[in-house]
Amino acid sequence: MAVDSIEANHHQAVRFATPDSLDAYMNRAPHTVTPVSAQAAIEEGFFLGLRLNRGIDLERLSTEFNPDAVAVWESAIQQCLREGLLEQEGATVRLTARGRLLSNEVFARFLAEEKVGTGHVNPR
Amino acid sequence: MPLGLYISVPFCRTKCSYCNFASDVFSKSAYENYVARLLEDIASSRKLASELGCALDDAADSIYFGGGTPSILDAPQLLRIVTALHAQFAVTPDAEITVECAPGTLTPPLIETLLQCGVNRVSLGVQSFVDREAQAVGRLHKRSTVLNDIARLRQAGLRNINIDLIAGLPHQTAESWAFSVSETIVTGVPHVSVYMLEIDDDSRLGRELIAGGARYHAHFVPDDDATADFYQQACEMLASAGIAQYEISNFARTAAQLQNNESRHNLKYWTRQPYLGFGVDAHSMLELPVWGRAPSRACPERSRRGPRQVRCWLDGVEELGSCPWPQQLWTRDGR
Repeated sequence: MAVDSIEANHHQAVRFATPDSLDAYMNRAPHTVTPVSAQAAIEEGFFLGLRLNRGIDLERLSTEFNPDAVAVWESAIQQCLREGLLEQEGATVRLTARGRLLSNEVFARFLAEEKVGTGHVNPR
Repeated sequence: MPLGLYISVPFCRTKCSYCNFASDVFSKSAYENYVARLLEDIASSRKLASELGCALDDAADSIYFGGGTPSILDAPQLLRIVTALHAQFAVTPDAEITVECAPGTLTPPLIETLLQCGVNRVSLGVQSFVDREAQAVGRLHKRSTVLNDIARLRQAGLRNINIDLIAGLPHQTAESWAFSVSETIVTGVPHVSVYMLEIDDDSRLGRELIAGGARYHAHFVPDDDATADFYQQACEMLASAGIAQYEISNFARTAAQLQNNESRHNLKYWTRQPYLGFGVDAHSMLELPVWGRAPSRACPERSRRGPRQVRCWLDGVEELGSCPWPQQLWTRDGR
C-alpha cells in the first residue's frame, strides 16, 4: 500500500489512558491520547481478532476498512499457513494450537511484513 | 454500541513477586482519596469525551473492577463508585458486572456489598491450588481458602466465577500444574483464564533472576519450554472437561452446559468495541462519530491536503480542551 493512501485515511477512534502512577493520577496528570487511524484500526482488528479462536474474516475486514490493507499481510499469512501457525477456512484465518502458543512470534511477523511492505510505521 | 466500563483499583494487601502492574501496598487512608478522585473522573467522563470529539453511548452493558485488589475497598466505597456509574450511564439490566477478588478477602459483609452493587461475576486470582507455589509468589491464600470462597459465593447466588491460573510459577512441575488444573475443573466454575508467566525485569522476581538471591524463589521458575508444555496441558485438560478455549488465555464452559460464559467485558477489547477506563493506568477506546472522521469544513487548514488537516486535529486533542477547531465540527450534521 502506498504511503499516501495510509496518510489520507481518516481517524476512526481515539485511545486514551490515565497515568500509571498513583501520584501522577492523584495530581491530575493529563491523559495520554492516541488517535487511531483507519490503518491502525485495521491492524488492531487483525491482531486482536487473531487472539480469538473464531479467528478473523479477511473479507469482512477488507470491506469494513480498506480492500488493499489486508493484501500487505498476504505473504506472512501464507508462510504461517505453511508452518502450521495459522489455519484457513474460506475467508477466515485463525491461529492453530501451536500458533496460540507462539502468538507473539506470529504477530511480530506481521508487523515486520508491514514495515517491509510499506516502508511506513503508523503512529498509534 | 453499549460501553464497557473499567474501574482500576491499584491497592493490594501484598505485592506479588511477579507483578509489575501499577498496583502496590498503600495505607488505607489513601483509599478514600482515591475513590473521591475516581468519582470526579466518572462525573466528568462526558466532558472528556466531548473534548476528544468522541461518540459516547449512554448505555453500558459491562462493568469490570480490576486491580490490584478491588475487594480491598470497603462497602461504602464500592457502593459509591457503582452509584456514580449508574448516575452517568444507563447500565443495562443484563449488564455483566465483574469484580476481581483475592481469595481470602471475601468476607460475608463484602459478599453482601457485591450483591448490593449488582455484581454478578467474580474473578478469583487463584494462580495455583498448590499452597507452596501460591506462597512462594506472595499470595496469602491456601487451596482451602479458595474452595471456601467459591462455596460461599455460590451460597449467596454468585455462580458466575472465573479462576485465574498462572503456568510457570516457581516450584511448579508437570504434576503440580496438572493438580491445579484438575482442581479448577472440579470446582465447576464456568470460566478459567490461564496465563503463561512472563517475568518482567522490573518485578521483584525479575530483579532476583538477574541479580541473584533466594527470597522470591526466582531460580525455581520452570524454563520456557516447561511453561509452554504446562499451557498446552491446560488447554487439553480443559477441553476434555468441556471448558472450551475461546481466546489465547481464556476458556469458558460451552453453551450446551450453561449459558454463554465468555467474558462480555474482555470481548470488548478483542473486538474493538468502545470502553472507558477510570483510575490509575486505565485505558479507554472510543470511536469518533462517522460525521467526525473527515473534518473539512470550518477547519483553518481546509484548503490543504488531508494529512495536514489530521495533524491539525491531533495537535488539538493532544492538549485536551485546546482543540483549535470549533466544537460544532463534531455535530451530527457535519457542520
